Amino acid sequence: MANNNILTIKNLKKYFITQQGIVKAVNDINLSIKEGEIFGLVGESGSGKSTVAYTIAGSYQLTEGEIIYRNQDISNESKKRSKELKKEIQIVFQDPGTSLNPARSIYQILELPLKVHAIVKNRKDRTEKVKELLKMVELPEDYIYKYPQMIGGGERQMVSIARALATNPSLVLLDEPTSALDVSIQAKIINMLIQFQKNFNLSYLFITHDLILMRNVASSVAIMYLGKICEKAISSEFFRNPLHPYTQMLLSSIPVLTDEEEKLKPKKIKSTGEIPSPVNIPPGCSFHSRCPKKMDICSKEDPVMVEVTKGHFVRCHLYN
Amino acid sequence: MQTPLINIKDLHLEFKVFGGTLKVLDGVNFTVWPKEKVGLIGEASCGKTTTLKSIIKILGMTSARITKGKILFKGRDILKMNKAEIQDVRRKEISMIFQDPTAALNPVFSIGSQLKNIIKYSVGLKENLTRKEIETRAIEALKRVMLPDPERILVSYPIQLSGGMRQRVCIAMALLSNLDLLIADEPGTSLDVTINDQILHLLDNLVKKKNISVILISHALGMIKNITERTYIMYAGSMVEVAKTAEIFINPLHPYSQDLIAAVPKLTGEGISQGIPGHIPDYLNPPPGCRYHPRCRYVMPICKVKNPPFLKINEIHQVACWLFKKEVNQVGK
Amino acid sequence: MKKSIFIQALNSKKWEKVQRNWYRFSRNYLSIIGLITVTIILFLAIFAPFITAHPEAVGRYVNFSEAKKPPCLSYPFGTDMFGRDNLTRTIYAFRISLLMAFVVLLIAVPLGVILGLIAGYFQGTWIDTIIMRITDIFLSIPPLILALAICSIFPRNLLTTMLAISILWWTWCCRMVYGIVTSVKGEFFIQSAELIGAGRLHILFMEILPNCLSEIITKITLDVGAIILIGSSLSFVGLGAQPPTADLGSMIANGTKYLPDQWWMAVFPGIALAIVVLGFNLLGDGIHDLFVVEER
Repeated sequence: MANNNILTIKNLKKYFITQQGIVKAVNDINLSIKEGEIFGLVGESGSGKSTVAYTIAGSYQLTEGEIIYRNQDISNESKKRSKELKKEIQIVFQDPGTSLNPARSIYQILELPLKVHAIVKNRKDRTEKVKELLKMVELPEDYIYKYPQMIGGGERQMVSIARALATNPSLVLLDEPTSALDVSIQAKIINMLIQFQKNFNLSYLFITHDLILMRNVASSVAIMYLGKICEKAISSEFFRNPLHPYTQMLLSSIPVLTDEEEKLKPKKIKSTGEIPSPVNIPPGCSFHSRCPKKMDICSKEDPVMVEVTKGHFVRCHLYN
Repeated sequence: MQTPLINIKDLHLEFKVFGGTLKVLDGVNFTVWPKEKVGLIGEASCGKTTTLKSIIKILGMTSARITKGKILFKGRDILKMNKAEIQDVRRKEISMIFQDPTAALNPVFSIGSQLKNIIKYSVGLKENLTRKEIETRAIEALKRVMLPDPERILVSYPIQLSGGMRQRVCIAMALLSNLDLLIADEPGTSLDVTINDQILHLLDNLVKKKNISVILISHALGMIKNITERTYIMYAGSMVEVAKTAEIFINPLHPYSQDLIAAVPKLTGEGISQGIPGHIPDYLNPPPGCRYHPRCRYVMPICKVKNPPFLKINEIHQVACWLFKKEVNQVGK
Repeated sequence: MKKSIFIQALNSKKWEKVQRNWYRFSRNYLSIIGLITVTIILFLAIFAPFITAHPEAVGRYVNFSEAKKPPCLSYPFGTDMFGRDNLTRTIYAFRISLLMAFVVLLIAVPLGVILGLIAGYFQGTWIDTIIMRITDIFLSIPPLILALAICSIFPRNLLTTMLAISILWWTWCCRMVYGIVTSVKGEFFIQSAELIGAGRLHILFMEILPNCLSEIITKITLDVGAIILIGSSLSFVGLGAQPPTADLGSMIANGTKYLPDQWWMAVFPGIALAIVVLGFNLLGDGIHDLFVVEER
């Protein structure tokens, strides 16, 4: 069965049991990432996109469903996973402030994956490899003596990326890698990430809430709302012809700089209301309370994902 | 000749730290006219928050020293004001809203008590308002920012509200008095896109209704474009360009402005620019002359020696760059 | 050649770090006062035999002709009821106090830190429950009472007293570390280490523990004063160091009987005690300020 998907997720559910009730953070999603592609996952806060990444990485034990990595079922949490698997799948976290241990030097932080997976033999080689990693992300060599709080947010994020790439992974999960950073640093880091992807033949799951960034980075895009995927398509199709009302609402509200871009946006849909709490998901389609195109059926029945055109999937009663 | 509402002239500010002094502000020239909406674009640590905090003197760090320059508010020198005078200004004439609404609200007091406190001390004492009147004003303020069910919100605590609602409460608090100037420091950054959109429209409407000036700081260029009339771009402690908002995005003149605007991803999907090589200067040892010169594509010998002043291109558009010296008259300080 | 440059660079960075820390420490004059006080006390304690005029005062020595003499040139702190020089005894008493603090902390801190780390990391499991409930039990007993109880069973000497205090002291450390570990445990950098594949031992001691160090060191410095006070309280009631060993608490106890006429017998050790505790507290505050993370 020739399947060049590096990652396939089937009916993934992750529920958290809290005092307020059951939080259905990820509520039945299906997606697949091909080898060597950048798959974008878009959503606002509470959509569950970060939870998807953490479940794939193994921080959480999934509640239901399957995660298949290169024909191997890896639906266990990280404690039960093999060391080889941990080498293959790496994650870059969102907040540069807390993704590096403030009590450890950059050298010690970058050395850890090398030591754990015995990538190099002795201390001297390790130091060389650490310096190589720093050079790869265009940071000066003497950063090995520094501590995370001494360097800026963008640089910390570059160290996180270097750390993720230290084990030569095949799949890298990037959870909002540049959301906390300035525009010019974001440009630098994104370019670096794209370069690495080409050079090392990596596959990315790229998560962000910035649709415009996604347009320029991902080859396939899926958009999430309250734990479910609303729409999924290849990037050019997704932005040229957004079908789901939520996608249209988001795209029409993003601020752009040029008239040219303004024309590309769908007709302005005024965004109303706020995202409901994930403990109290309304019945039927989770978006119906804010949807301008709501129909009767939307508050009763949850729509299923249909393929409207080849490769373009939507979950909405408008297209059933 | 109208007096500008805010007129910062050649402001130099430094912080004393271990290893020397951080020369953070290096000759800031910044003007805001009455009833004008001004944007301030700049990246992290360029000094924008420091500049604005020094207008209302809430810098908070005792090691900050203003070595040169003036800050004039309605013609009055802020730096010479004593504590009572500046408190008066803060209560009645200038308000500020911050990036993180959660941090701006006291978590152990209800929204109502915080609002009522502000009303009491800004107008209540003078006009001798009763408790009932203060409560009515508080509810009015919440209604103005389109918050549903204001009575319930008055008795809620900040943690019970969502991020968008908290930011609206902060805006309501800022607009309580008959102020002349509202400073908004990255108001939408910690919120979702759709909520951000709503908040910005709200701010826009309120500002129009009250006819006040706004200084909007952001590193999200799209936000600035939609709301402001005139925009400053700041780099490493001084303003590098100022122009009408539309003009600055269509025709940025300063190399930094050009690089910055080019680095913003576009919906057309043409990929992302390379970013700007180099990094922001070390404020302990800033580069001589123009602080952007180590990263500038068009660097000339004079750039390494002398810091360019604001050179006039037209009535409103000014650039601090030696590239434009031959063509234009020098504005001078 | 390469290796030595590496070491050189490493040392210069460390030196810069020391300089930077000194600058921050010295900004508060109280911390400097604390540091000077503690240095003087340490010096006195270490070199006691060489600098005191009447070293026999701490041994079995009586000289009733010199007894109850008020402060004068040859006896700056006066003499006690047995004719022993008060100043010498006070200085030697510093030794006992510091020794007590040292031994108690040597036992209590490692024990408390390790148990706190384990309990915190395995939060929610039976390991956590057992360790923390034992801690709770010990914490619910007033320290002085337990110390008294233990000292009444076992032979009455300095060692027993130190052990008695240690049995209680580890619980505070354990609790503090537990609190830090449970909050740090959920941070991204710990998750990252786990996802990279680091083993539990590494995560506990190399990732989590360094984050606790600042609090632990501060606590140790502040604890010295507290332990000395408790030790003095115990010796005030007759436990701890036994006569003729000089100890601040017992000196104060014996001296109170002679108040107010021979005031110097109680007052000088009392002031000395206050200075020791205050000195360590000021120093501890200064050290705590150092660890406030300096953001860019």
